[in-house]
Amino acid sequence: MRAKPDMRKYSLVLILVGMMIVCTILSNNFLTVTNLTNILKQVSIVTICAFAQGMIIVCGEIDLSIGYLAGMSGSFACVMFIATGSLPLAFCFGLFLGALVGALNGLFVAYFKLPSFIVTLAMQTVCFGSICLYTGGQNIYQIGAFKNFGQANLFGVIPITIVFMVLMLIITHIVLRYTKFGRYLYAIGGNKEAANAAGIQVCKIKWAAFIVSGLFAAVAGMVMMGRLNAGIPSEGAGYETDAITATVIGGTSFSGGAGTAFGTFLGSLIIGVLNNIMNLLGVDSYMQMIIKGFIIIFAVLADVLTKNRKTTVRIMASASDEKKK
Amino acid sequence: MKTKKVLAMLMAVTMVIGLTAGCRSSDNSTTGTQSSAESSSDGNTFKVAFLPTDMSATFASWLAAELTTVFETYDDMELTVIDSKNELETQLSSLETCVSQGYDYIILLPLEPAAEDDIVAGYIADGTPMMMINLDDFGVDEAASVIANPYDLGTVVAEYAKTLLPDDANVVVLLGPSGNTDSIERRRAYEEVLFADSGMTVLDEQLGDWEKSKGMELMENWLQVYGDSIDAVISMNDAMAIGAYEAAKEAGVGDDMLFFGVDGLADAAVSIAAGEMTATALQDAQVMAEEGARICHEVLTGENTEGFEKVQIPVTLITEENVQEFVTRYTENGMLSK
Repeated sequence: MRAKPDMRKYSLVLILVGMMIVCTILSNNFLTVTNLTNILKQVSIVTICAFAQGMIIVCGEIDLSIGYLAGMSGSFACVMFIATGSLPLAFCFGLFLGALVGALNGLFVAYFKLPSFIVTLAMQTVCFGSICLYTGGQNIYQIGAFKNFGQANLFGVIPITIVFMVLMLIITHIVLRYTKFGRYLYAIGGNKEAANAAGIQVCKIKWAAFIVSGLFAAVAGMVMMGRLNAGIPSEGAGYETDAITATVIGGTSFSGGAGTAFGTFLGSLIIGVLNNIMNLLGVDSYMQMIIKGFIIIFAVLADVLTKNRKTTVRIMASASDEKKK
Repeated sequence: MKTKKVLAMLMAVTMVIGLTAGCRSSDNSTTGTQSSAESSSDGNTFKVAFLPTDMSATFASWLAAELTTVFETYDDMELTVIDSKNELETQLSSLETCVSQGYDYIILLPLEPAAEDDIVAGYIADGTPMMMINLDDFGVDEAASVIANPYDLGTVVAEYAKTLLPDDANVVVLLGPSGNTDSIERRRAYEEVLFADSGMTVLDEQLGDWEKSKGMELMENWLQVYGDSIDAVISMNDAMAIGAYEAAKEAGVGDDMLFFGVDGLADAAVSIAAGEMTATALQDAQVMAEEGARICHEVLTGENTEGFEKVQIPVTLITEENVQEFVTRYTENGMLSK
């Protein structure tokens, strides 16, 4: 049902290692523990969003509400913490909101068969509107211990944002690879009719996928607000597209049915390293935008070329899948 | 069949929710266009529209709240707020709607003053008096204007920074979005007041897009390259400056550097009070709203025969000396909880 494109994973590792070698030559500030930690910290939130996006793309849909949902649930969690002073309660409240919005997305997409692009696009403004309505457009400051979600260190050394990212990486990996739910996601993304014929409850699985995506987005949002030490709803904007970029660089097929958690992680790291080295070198802001755009295209190109050479069979297989649709 | 029924039910429910939500938001009269659409200028009440840039932006929503409060003290004027959602296109069509709906006065918080000048001039010529508030490039002679000069905002902080920084200081600079008038003017003030006649080195300057997370990320990277040779972070707004402080604090050098911002809103007040940020400058929305309402009223009642007035409100430097006053004030007006 799903040929694992292992070569693809290695080609990404090669691209990343290659980039890191070049970066080390370009700047002697690059290969230091602090800098590498910085990169991991900087990519952690977008990576968690990308895991969510990856799961949704694997099953052939898209979730554009992730960024604003993160902003909303993170900020509401701050509100909850200020009101109650309880971190677990705030965290659960954030998760609840994430699941709620995810469930709404999933309901319309899976059961009413609306295009996910439109539903989740519309949900962006619903999310943003509801938090702004509550706060009156103001940000939430003085969030006290809530900042621990983004600024604390595990065992005094490992930044909590990285811990969250790794945790979500492991969860995503297990879900996609070792659970029925994960395998069904690939099956639905690969060929919905065939999956349906094979007895998979497509609607239910898709609904669940959106709920999971909402939960992930909520986690990302709470980590984000912790790191920012404030509840700033607008900061979530744009994360959904960054997440798509990371996912696609990571080898997730836009037509669904293929993609891995590690691929997404590597895709995210590639962007993170790129942003980092350009700032270390003091590259002009406008130049950065151009370089970043082209490097992303080249990274995907290099990846596709490697994949073409090694796994011709799989490509033909997926092409015939397309035809069946 | 069944799905259709469910769908119809769902749509009905959403509509009802939408309706009630709409009513609620016009109750606190910060958003919504419906509140005063029908009563026209034939009665005793003048209809005034306020078109802010983006009601989810801190300053714009604060200004809208202050304007709403001030307008409540006038019996003969009624204010409607129509959000432009940070899109020029939306603002222009709202403007069109307001004119065709017969509003007596329009207060515009423009997104791109230079791009809107011609249209504003046209409407004024057709008989709807208008005001540019907070941002104005003075492209329309007949438009009223109430602004805090962005250049002045940069100047007061730059002058204060000059007293604190050594002549050979190393600084990093955080800019707003590319092409943003506020950012460009504030940066120009720094150039002329602080950098031009001193030996200061700008180690690097980058676009932080007004975002706290960008300020934080850029600072993390700068600390890698320049370490504690950075003496100060010069930011064109507060959010980025505070983001940079968070990064520096985590690297353990937060107290060795100075952080300068502009905006002077609640986040900066809290930060300065906590000894984190060094200074910021405030464009006071309350003063702006009071002046705006006064001019609007004078024009509508005919007290002002010219049909417009241009004022610049003073900018206020906020440092640790006077920050407590602002913390109190922001707590009282609800911008700070607790």
